[in-house]
Amino acid sequence: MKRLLQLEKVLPKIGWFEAAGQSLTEDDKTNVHNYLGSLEVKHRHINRVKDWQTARKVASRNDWAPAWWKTETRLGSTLTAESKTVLGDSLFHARMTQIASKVFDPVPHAVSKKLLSLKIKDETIIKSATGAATEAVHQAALGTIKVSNNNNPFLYKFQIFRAGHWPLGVYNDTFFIL
Amino acid sequence: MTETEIPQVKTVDEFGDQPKEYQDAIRKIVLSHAINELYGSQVFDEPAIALAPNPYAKWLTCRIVMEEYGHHVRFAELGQQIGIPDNQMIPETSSKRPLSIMEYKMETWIEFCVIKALGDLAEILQVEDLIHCSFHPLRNLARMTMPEERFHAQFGEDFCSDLLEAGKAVAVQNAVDKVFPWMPAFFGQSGSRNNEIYRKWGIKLRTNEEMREDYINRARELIEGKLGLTLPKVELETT
Repeated sequence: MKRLLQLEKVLPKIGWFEAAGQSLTEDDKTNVHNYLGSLEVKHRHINRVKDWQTARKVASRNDWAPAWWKTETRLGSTLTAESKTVLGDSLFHARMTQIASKVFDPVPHAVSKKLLSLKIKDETIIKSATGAATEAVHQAALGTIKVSNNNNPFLYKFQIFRAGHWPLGVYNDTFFIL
Repeated sequence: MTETEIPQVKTVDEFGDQPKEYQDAIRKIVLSHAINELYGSQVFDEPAIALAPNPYAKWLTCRIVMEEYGHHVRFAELGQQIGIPDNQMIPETSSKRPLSIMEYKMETWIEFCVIKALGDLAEILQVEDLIHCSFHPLRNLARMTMPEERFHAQFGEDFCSDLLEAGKAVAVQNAVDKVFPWMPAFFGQSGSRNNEIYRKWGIKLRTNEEMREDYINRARELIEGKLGLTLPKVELETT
């Protein structure tokens, strides 16, 4: 529970998507490698996407690697079951709702602000980016409740979002990041 | 229907001073929204994440799940404040049955898009009817959730348009044929006693029949006017 409260405290301080389009730092690269390595998803390249319109096109591609998504989904289901065992159903839902409430409004607000500054008016990209970020927070919370493995991809993924980027996933043999 | 002076109930505290019939009517509506928002996100929105064709659509659907769940949380918070037991607002433990559309067995992404276009259009009509509600906390909640409901319906319409452009007209028409017949029942029975009470107290404005007729006209405009498909004929109950 202590770790979950720490995560909750961090959330309001995050500059969501602040580094979108910017070069990756060494820490970012390490987080990407750790994230994909812990998911055991093979990739040959990392491609930095420089703008939001391209990010939308990339994330809408049909050649995305199902292994990446399926592994996350499977891990999420396992951690949900384990977390419910640790906390009980009622407390689990209460804590996850509390966590979600911390990002429900701030994330779309941050994306809107960012896109407005770029003169982009696209409500679906706001919702999609928000969905990705809030899903990552939910997954990070799961990885925090039941730490059975320090090499948890959800914690690395959260660090990528925390650094202000949007990991767009693996398409063909390339990992894309905004 | 006898004339009753319609109260303007501005707070939950004032709610406690209202006649029992008024309180019961408000509780019924809040309970219905709390249950159906949660049930809808469980049986349609959350499973649709797996059906979505690409990450962009999956994340968009994640946000929709969150918004629908958020609606449940908000209605449930109001429900708690007006004395509805927590277990009544959770589908698994409630004696209140969800809307019949929730029994529809969704299997494809195309069906989900049609459910969003047609189902959330029905939800918009219900919420529109509450935005002048005499119980202001419920009115405020309706106004707060309306933009998100509109986005969800638009999402369905946009993705249906994309599917048509991609040559999936037959599949979209099949989904419309399967989903639409469930929709008229969304508005309750004709001559409903509950609806009469809601209108008597200024909680709702229109009869179930009026809302259903409006819905069918708006659904026809969407399916036939905008998408160029055919709205199936459905037999409406007349009692």
